[in-house]
Amino acid sequence: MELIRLDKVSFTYPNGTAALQEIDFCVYAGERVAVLGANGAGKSTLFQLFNGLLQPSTGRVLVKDLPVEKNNYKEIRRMVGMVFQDPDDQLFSASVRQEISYGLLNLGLPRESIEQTVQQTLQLVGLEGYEDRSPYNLSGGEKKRVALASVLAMKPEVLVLDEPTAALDPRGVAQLVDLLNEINRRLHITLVFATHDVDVVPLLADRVYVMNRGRIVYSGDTGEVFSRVGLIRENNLRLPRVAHLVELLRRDGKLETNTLPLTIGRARKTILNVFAR
Amino acid sequence: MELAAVNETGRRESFFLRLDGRVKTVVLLASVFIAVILRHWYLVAGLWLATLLLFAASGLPWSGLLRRLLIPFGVAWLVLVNLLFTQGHTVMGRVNLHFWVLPVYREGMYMGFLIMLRIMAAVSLGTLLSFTTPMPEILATLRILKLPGLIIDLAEMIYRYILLVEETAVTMRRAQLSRGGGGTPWYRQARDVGTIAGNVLIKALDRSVRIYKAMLSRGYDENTVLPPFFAGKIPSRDLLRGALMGLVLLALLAGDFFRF
Repeated sequence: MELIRLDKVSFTYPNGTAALQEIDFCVYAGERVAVLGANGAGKSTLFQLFNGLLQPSTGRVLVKDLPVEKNNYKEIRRMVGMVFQDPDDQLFSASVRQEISYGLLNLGLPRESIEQTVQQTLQLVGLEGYEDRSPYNLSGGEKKRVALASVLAMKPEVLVLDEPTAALDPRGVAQLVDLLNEINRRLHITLVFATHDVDVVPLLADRVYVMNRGRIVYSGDTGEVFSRVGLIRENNLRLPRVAHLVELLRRDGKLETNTLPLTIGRARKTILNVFAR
Repeated sequence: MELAAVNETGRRESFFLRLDGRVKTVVLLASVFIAVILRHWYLVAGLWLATLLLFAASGLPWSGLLRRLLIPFGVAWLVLVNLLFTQGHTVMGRVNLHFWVLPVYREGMYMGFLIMLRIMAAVSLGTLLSFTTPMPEILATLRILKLPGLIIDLAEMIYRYILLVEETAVTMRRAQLSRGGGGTPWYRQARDVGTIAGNVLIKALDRSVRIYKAMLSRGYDENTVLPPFFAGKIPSRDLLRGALMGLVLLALLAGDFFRF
């Protein structure tokens, strides 16, 4: 089932900047989709079209066949949960409890079920006991998880994350990746995320769109996209580090393999296979 | 920053800290109101003394209170000096300034002293409230008391983001100092401060647009009114304590009215 569809969508800012040009984009239920692109590629602009924060200059945007327009905003914004890049833009309440309750109150849920949902959501993101903490006093990773919880509490069908690993330390990145995969697997929430952190993409995406200067230049399965090494580099991106290492070893004739492994685990298997031969 | 520390202090344990936030907010706000309308200095002084005793009993930092009292104390002195030499008709003495002789009026001194005590008591009561009650509870209580919702929403946002604004300003100032910004002539320092102020304003505006988008993404519209959010009923023991404190305040008012 198609959850999000963009047909020939273009967007130009009031100052004349053509941020998006003729975008065709589609996300299916249950998928994990990465939108990969350098800074200024148009990723954040694209995401703001999903829930009507921006309206396209041309083309149309559909969420579960509902056109993204004013009279559908409430339903669409419940279905499409958006997590912004900087958690300080998203955490605007005085306590974690209020933050998570915010969206639920807007949905008109009764108070008893709100408190229960707050507790369940905090447990899901590993922040039990944080209800009365001020968002200001949290670490970067904790803020990110509260921002995620505040959106998950609304039980969205698709979770849209803008640069989810930005400003996280390596451990924070690993924890977030595990959490997002668990959310996708256990709660069947579709994931769409924008990033230029290519090392995370193979861990978190089934399918990849590559963007550059407001256009989608390529899309496909994760392995397929990263096999097009020239395309990756032309668009100001790079291979995952382990893939780059194997590429260099292959080029130097030290490693005979046809595939470029994208993760440490796969690289280990590839190298052991070569040694076994 | 002090606000963040105060919010955490608000969660430490003492009998006054354990009192329900709604009861504390109502009692202390009423006390502030009463402190500024009492007409007899010894009653105001008594209220102030009681506040300081509560402060001490709650184990709160005196440095915080003194910092909060510094500027109001300066203002109170200005008021006292002004009234001393201008208000009244009973001359207690005179101050000889060579070319100018200033009469010192008894009524002016009394009025100035009373206003000074009112200022100190009110600020001390406000400090006691903010040091012992988390801001979300204070704001939620004001909402229950039917203060305009928009003002409470704005106050919540200000509280949430003032720490971030301060951090931004401090970061910019550090960047300036790292490039030789300190120790320069006063007009350049003034320009540097102005630069920070302007940049903080622009960043705040920019951030406010992003925050608004985040709010929209979670269902906010122009008709949304954030309801108060408070856990549970007020314990009857706290209601009783609040009622007793209220009775004391009423007794103070009665005493002031009928003049003890």
